[in-house]
Amino acid sequence: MYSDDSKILVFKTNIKTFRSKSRVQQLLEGRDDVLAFNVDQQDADCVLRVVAATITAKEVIALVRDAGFQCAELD
Amino acid sequence: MRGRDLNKERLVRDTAIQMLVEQGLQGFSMNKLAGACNISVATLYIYYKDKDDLIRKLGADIGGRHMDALLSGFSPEMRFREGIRKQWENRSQFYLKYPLEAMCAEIIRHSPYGECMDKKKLRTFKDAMSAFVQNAIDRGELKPMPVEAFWSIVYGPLYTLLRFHSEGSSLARRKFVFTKELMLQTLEIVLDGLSPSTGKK
Repeated sequence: MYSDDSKILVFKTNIKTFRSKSRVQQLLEGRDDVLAFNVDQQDADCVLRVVAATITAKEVIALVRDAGFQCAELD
Repeated sequence: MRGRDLNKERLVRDTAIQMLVEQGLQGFSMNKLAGACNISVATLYIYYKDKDDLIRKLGADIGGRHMDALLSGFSPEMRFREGIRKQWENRSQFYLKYPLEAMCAEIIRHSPYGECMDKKKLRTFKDAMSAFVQNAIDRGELKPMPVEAFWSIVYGPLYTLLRFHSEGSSLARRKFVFTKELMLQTLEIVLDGLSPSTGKK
């Protein structure tokens, strides 16, 4: 389990393929401000779920969009 | 940023169980579940990583409670008739008290998610049941037979009665209510059939 300080951020993306998922993994893996993440590729919205230590939703969106993917926070 | 809400978590769990029972694994999705709970998909992802994670956690939770319930008051040292009667009581009580959970556990157990069951609890359960059957065979209370034959003869009749009950009717739409009297009457017939002293005529 994660500490109470961790927050879960959820995004709608177009990370549909294995390759695009690998690309996002490269971006988010090994970062101190990200505790864990996964992409639900079974879901129509290819939901990216980030367990954040300190990273913000805006920072995730910027990272993912810079890599060429769509990314919007799910309400 | 979101926090956990125990009431919502409960609602999600109960609705997921209901959907899995009514629609099966194929028709199940995070989107449909969120819609049925009247919550956003994003909220659902606070509790579960994805659909697989949700089904595995549900399976482990329900399966664990189911196995605990089945072993309640049961011991592998019991005489065969006494032990099977306890199993029938435990199984029927769980099924009648938590019909959806019991059906959901069945669906998950027979799916690719079946391995999600709590391994330690599963081992304890299997060990207890194996020891019980072996003791019964050693004491001459039970004929040796393949495990599938044993399970279908010992529990098949009980689950048929419980299914009739959950459907509210039995054969030819005859109204049906499960009763302890009928359960015990059926159990006697099952036990007599399994007894080594019931030889071929």
